[in-house]
Amino acid sequence: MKGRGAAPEKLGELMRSVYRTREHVAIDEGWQGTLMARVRQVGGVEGKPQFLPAFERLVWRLVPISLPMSVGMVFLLARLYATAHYDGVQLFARYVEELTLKRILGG
Amino acid sequence: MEKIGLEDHDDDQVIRRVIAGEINAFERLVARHGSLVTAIVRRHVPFGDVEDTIQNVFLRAYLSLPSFKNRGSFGGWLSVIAVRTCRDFWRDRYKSKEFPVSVLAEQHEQWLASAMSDERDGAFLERASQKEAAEILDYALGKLSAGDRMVLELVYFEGRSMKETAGLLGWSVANVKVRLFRSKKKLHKVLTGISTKEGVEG
Repeated sequence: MKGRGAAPEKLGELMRSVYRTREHVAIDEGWQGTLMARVRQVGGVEGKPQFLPAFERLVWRLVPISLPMSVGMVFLLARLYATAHYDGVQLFARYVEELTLKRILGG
Repeated sequence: MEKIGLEDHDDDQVIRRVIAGEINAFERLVARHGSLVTAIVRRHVPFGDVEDTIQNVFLRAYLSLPSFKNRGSFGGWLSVIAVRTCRDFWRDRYKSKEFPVSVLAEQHEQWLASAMSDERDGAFLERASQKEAAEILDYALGKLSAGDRMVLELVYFEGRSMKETAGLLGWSVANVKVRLFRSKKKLHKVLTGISTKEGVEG
């Protein structure tokens, strides 16, 4: 007795057999001549700059590390700046206060 | 094509000569690995685009030859380029909207419905029209993204391992697993939709 699950499996097998027929498609071997003509047109590969592709790969490879680090640095700097700013204001306020009191009270 | 006389040279030696400026030596690599690339490309792209895609694979490989050094076998490296070129082919095709939205006819629905029925015997495939079946498969695969399509073809249809597929496509194994699950589900939905006349317009 065949269950209800047999249909998807059967369908899968059917599609796999259809897919395998693609392997028997005949290709004209003339492409090799056309390819070599294109290769000759491009010219030699020696001395071609490889720096930029390598640099791009490096940048993408470092993204998982550099991105959280950048966010962390921004957060840290923002906090430092805010604290420094706050301290600066307090120092300035204290200085003005002391100066004013000295002027009023003397000494 | 002119004779090069590099039969006794291994791939690494030929590559060194190509990089040194001996362009014609590349022909030896093309002759050696042409069948490998052809076998990969004809499984993944439509018949009319196979030759162009094979040429693109070798051209990409040629331009990247200086970066090949110490990366294992040339055949393996070329396979990766071939699979990724096929994926890029479908990306470009979907992006440019050149891919024709195929409409399935009544006979496709009937064919699929009878193929899925339990009454069919083992000899059904030999009697069935391969042309209709291929059209249905192309239609269903056309509903998937370029990446999902490649994963489904490599793992589900060709029986490659998740690890191998991940290496070929440059993805993680977890990504391949997720995409395979998603694309199998979608393929089944599209195919059952065709047989029940729901997925034809979809």
